[in-house]
Amino acid sequence: MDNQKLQTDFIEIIEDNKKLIYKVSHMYCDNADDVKDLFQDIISNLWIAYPNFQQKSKVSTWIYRVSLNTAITWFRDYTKQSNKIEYTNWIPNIADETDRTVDELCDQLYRAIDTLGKIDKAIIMLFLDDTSYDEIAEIIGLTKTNVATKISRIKLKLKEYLSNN
Amino acid sequence: MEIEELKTIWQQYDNRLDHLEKLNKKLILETLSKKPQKKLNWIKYRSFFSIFMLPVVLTLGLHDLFRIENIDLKFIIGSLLILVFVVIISYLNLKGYMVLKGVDLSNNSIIESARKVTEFKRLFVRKRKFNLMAFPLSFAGILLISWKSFHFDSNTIIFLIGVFVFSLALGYNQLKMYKARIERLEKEIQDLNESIE
Repeated sequence: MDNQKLQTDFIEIIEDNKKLIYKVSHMYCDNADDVKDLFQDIISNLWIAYPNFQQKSKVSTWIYRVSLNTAITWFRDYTKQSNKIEYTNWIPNIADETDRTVDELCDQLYRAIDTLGKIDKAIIMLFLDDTSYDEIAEIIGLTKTNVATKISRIKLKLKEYLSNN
Repeated sequence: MEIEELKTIWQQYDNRLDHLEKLNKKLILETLSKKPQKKLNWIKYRSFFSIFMLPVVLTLGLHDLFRIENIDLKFIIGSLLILVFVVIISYLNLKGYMVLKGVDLSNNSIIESARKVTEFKRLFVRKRKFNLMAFPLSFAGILLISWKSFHFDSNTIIFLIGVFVFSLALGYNQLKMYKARIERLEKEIQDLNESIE
């Protein structure tokens, strides 16, 4: 496949799954600059991995895996930003600005999820996104039974946090 | 707020993200062509070069002292101290590099990646601690190796004490600077381990 075709296909995949990358970036960063950096790193890692993507698993599973792995292995402390490409509009904005109550509730939700560990965050995000237990198990590297147990525990933790706050 | 409500909010959030603007194709293409340096690769390369950096710098800096007439007990003890320091630091750098080399974002599960990151962070903490603890010994090592080059008059002694105090202060400052970072990393490692168990 020539490079131009590869790029066109890749951009199409990214466009179709940008919501997912956006959610992961927001889930693992607490300020706008970091979100932008992580979003860019995820795209970069997906592009590097794309030529070897065998389509054995679903595209969304592959994107979840690379995105979450990028977030988990993201070393914000160790690096300098000199090689970053600075784009003010790198992260897409939400065009619909009408419903602010959803934003407030989402902030509450993110705050609750933020109390969880990195892997628990990934599990609950996949769960909330209606990913099947089989797929969660494949992405996270647990058995299906362990996923179910983990989700019950995370639900309890979140419930406890939400009832206290 | 109940869990079911969370799911509803998440769904609303998801619907809201349907309104995300189209990604700027031009910017993505530019990024892909420029291949921005990834954080993980940057750290991987740094770990790789660190394996050789310290031995090379020390060899270049001290090679002039390696003469037959300089070799005595002090020289041998100094060389051993430096050698132990270099071997341990290079070993920790090599281990760190090997851990990062094994990271495969496309095929590793999240738990595998988390384990590797935890291991790398643990090595980073260990290396910093070792650096600070071994500083007086490595200083003594360099001093013993270059013993014959010094004429121990009062100026030299003041100079050496000055260098030692300055380096110690620098080391202490580093310790303070890294203490907070190390504590944060250790907490992160603990969280990751709890998540994995």
